[in-house]
Amino acid sequence: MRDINPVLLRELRGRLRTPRSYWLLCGALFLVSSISLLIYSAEYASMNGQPTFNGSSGHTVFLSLVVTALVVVTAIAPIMAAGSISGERERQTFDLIVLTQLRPIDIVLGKTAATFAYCLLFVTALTPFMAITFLIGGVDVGELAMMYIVIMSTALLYTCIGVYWSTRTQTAITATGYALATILGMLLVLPVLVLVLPEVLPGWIADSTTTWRQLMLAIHPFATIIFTQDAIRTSTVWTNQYTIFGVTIAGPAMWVMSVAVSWFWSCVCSILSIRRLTPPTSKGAS
Amino acid sequence: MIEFRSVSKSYGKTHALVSLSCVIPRGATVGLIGPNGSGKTTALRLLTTLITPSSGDIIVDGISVCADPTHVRQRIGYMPDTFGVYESMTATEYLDFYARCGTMAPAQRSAIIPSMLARVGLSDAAQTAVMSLSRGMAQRLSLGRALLHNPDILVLDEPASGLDPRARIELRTLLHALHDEGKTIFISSHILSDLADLCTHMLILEHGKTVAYDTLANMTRFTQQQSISVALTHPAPTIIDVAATCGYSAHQTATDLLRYDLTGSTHAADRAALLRALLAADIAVHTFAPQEAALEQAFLQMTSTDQHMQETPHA
Repeated sequence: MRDINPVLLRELRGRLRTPRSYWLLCGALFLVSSISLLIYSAEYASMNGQPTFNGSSGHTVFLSLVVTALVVVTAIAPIMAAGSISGERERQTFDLIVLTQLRPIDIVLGKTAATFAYCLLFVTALTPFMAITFLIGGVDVGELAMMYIVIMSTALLYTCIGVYWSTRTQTAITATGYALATILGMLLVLPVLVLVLPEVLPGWIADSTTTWRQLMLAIHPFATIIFTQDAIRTSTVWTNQYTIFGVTIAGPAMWVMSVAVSWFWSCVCSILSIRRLTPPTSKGAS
Repeated sequence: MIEFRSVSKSYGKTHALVSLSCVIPRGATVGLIGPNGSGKTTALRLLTTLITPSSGDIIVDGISVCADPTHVRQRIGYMPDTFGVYESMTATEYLDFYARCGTMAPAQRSAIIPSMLARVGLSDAAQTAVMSLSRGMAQRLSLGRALLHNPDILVLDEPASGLDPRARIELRTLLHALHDEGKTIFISSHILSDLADLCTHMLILEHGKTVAYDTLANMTRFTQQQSISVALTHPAPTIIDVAATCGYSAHQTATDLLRYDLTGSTHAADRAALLRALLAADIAVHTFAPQEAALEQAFLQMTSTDQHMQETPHA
């Protein structure tokens, strides 16, 4: 049987042996629970003294949990991943790892999996809170699973972006800056483009504005969650109607596209990271 | 065998290494010396494939570092000048991590790690956190890591830097043993006395250029001047004139009026002629001891002026 990836093992042990990880996890859970408590209280207050929650209230609390979890993952994943390889450079251990028989793919996968595992730990720790909303009602198991998949796919993408920048920079702080700038660019600039482009560009884009917007926003997890709520209301969880060149066709639902796009770009970032770590070869310089 | 073929490395307009060419026989212990910024670390990093040459190539046992760095890496154990640590790792876990990275089987790992710790004298520190190891212990652990996969070639960048005398002696003993096992060893160091004790070959670099590459014996033979310490039983001021007739200059030491330092030719025949002349002049010579600081003298002579670079024979 093949051994577990040594980089993954070392990263997990290294992280979980220091109190920093516990404090970070506790802080994130405190944030999520506080916000959900606030929403819960607000919902309760809006009942005008009638102490009866309905499905809509449970769904609102659930959505607040999902959005907060997504915000936390958006912060944790790139910050942790950005220090993975550049941190090795700072500790002056990078050369030693590179000179072992580990392949660049092993190093990149180990680093990615370690950060992803930490995000998974956080999302798993959210389960009791999610369970409460599930018991209140208004949320079914399918929606719960769907949101978990979207959150984890987002965590994977942001981890890969962090690892990619980590391979390109000498210090963790620089890598973190670039990774956060990339992700904030995706989160903030993309919606602006989605709103502006169809107005500026004439022709078929204007004809299929909604499709265009949905395609562009597939990389935006927060937009995906909003669009998915519409899909759940209309009971079209797996498929969606798209209009391209005036033709309406059925395609995968927005959240499925979002997950697929996240996985695709995660692969692209990982391949680029592996290429950065692969020693250049030549026939010998002249 | 390792062959540097006109290897150069430039960073923009800065030439870190210029056309280094030399052949290192299997089992040699090569000392790299030179002032700071002379290209020693660049040469070592090129050999370990951590960086690629701007031009030229290095052939390690028939494998080009440019064409096949992965296979070259399997033959090399590298000990950098700094000891990078992972937090919260014991010495055993540190070696275990690198053994796993070397794709060693669990049974092999559990056998080799205790023996490696014993070899580098760290059995008692097996469960000590690497962060709390002394500099000397950390260096030995780093050497143990470099030896885990039993490489043919060891590349050591400033291994003795910052070590106390005991740690230096222990490290030197370990390196002697590795040399006896037939490993080819590269050592970059500023401590010339250690290199003189360990090395079979010397490579002197300055401003990225090769000043000299030769066996230690040839290198020290090249030294143009040698100091001879002469102690007398009775005062004899005529020693200065007699030495001068043989081409040596004599200076009385400040601490002992009966002791003189004679500086001149390194040739054994000239030294013999000098001794004969002193005895013929009835100078009561008690001791006549050529000094062993030849490597330091050679280094100083060769790196002091550009003229020496032209005069020194290249390998």
